[in-house]
Amino acid sequence: MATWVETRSGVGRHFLGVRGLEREALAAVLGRAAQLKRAWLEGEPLPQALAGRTVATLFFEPSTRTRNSFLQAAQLLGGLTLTVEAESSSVRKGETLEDTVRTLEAVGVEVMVLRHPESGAALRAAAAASRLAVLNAGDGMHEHPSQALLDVMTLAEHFGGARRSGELDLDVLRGLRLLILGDIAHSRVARSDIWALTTLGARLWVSGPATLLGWLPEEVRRVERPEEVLGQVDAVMALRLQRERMADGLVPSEREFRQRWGMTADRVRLLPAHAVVLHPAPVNRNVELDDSVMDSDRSLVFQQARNGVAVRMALLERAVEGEDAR
Amino acid sequence: MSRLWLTGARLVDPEGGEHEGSLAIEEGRIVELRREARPDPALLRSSPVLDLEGAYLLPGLVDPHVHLRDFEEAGKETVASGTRAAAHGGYTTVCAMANSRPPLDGVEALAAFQAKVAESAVVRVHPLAAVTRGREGRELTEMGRLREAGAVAFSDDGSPVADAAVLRRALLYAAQLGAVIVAHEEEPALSAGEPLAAGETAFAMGFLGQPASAETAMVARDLALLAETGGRLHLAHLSTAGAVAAVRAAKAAGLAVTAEVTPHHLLLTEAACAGFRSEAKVNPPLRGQADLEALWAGLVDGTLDAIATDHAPHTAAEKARGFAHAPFGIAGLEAAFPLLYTYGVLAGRIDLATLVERMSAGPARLFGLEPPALRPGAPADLFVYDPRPELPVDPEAWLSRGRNTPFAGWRVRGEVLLTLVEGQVAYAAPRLALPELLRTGEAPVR
Repeated sequence: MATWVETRSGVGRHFLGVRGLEREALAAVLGRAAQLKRAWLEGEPLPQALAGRTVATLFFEPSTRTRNSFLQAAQLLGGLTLTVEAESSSVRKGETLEDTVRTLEAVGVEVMVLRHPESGAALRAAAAASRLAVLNAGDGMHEHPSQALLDVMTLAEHFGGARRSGELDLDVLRGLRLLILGDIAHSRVARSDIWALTTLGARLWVSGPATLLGWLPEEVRRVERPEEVLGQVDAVMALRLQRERMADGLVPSEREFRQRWGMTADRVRLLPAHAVVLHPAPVNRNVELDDSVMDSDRSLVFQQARNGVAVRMALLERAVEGEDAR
Repeated sequence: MSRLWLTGARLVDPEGGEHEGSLAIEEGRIVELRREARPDPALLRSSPVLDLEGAYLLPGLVDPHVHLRDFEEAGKETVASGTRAAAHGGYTTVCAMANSRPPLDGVEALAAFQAKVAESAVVRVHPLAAVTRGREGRELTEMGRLREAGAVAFSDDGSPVADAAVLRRALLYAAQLGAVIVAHEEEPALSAGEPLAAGETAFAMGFLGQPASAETAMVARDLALLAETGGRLHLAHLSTAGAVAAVRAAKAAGLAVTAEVTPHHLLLTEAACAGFRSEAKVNPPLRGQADLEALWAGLVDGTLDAIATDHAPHTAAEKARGFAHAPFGIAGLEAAFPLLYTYGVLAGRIDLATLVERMSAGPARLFGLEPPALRPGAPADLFVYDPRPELPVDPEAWLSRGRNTPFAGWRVRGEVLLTLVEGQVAYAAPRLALPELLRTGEAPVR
């Protein structure tokens, strides 16, 4: 599946997924994200790559974190932003995704950040676009590629140490042992994380209720209970448990989920001293992560959020400049 | 003198084997068959001759499962376009499913369909009628009246009869009428509207996928109902190794069950959907390599009685609605034989005579139709296939309104040159120089 796709005009670049991306491509965007992050946090002037350019966020699903992260990133790079509320737009009146793309393009939008409940929607949008670049902010259960990048960045920083130069050492992920916990089958975050992290050489285990695991790639090993590997992992990625999974009867209760697969204080005690806990957020406190874990030094949840802005700056810059422009 | 000789061909007939030969047609029937390519010139004197040097002469294909649309869905296909497509594919008989809009669930609807057939079909068309009114899975249709009015079998295909009690009643009632129930084997609670099979491709595309049990559980249920009710059950478009095994066991146990498989389930796996290719979105979904192998084995050993295209034309706009929302289905009539000849016979998976049996006499027998045969006295329902040219599958050249196929661009060996239904031309390749007798023949009205 194409991920970075040249648009027909060759100006912008879509970012649709991480599956199939080579290590070099991941390294390029993450390296740039690290540079931008350093400049941002140290108060240096950021490149105004988006000056005079309009970024639209089009979200067909509720999200504050991802959308605001993209908006913040766009504004830091001098961009104009447009927030399209799918709920109140022509989309409600039955406008197709393709027509929405063409309309945004017609009014001068150059980058569209799309979240959509349908797997493959970002590819559809990209296929309809002739000039604007599509950034996938989550399409169905398919991909959430910017989340995977920020997860990779957070792990690489933590285990490699952010360097003064702003470089990021992705080699520290080779052999890194990570347990992904919870709802894998319905999770676009899990898919994108699995692809990005296995490309970078990490070793992955998953654990969760069998009703939430589904088909898994060979590179990923399944354990029935987290206890089987907690003593030997470097990091745990807990995934959000959607409440509708309970309505669908896939999980008997949150209480039972927490008891068997939640990162409780007792389970955290089984981790090696250096191990950390991540979560794409928002967290169901005391379901996936206990309060004490969420608020502990082991939790990288807020670093993830900050890295989200850095990664999205790099993606937006790339979307308007193209890979070769830098 | 209206006798026409077809000479110089290789005749393949499941009854008579494969041999050089020639045959004469008169008044819509085969009147003479010779095992030599060039009969005595004296015999041919004063008869027009069409020499088919190097081509196969085969009994007409029978498709037990097509969707001819028309009525409210004439944009997708009509009886006229669908039967021309069938003829272009070497078919002389097709059985049309009842899930048209409106559905064929009563004698009036059936009569309206038959009127379309009489007016515009160029091959034989036998309609199936719905099992339940409105295909809603609740009340049985008037099967007795529908059967007398010409329905060859009964099916809610497109959807399963989800309620086991309703299917049980249908089997009991149809058994009394001597009618076949054709089952679409899908447990909807398990398939859950998923657009492709569970597995690697579904994972990569962000779908849960349909588990194999969506089919195998329903097959098991329906075979249990059949064992209890008697009657005859035909299982449509099977796709899983488990279903093939279940049918094999049921046949061994003496149950009156038959089954069919489609060319796409024989030739493609779920991987054909990768990249959100909605042309490969079909129900039941394409499965894995082990299923594909089991389907071939079942076809060769006769567990699967027939090949059906499940010809399901859709417009390009509908198929472009994104993988999740595009309709299920592949337009199959015009590529089926070339694909199976190339990737079945030439690939060594099946011999030509068996392939022809599964696409001609086999499907005809399912519903008690007269099997096309290259035999004196039989109707001249046959087709000519030139196996020499190597061509791409080109949907733009199809006669169907449906161009939706994942096989576009596949290289195939051979093409249909001529299809005769009761001795009349239903399709002739433009490059074929037809004798006067055939050229002047009007397209048959059936």
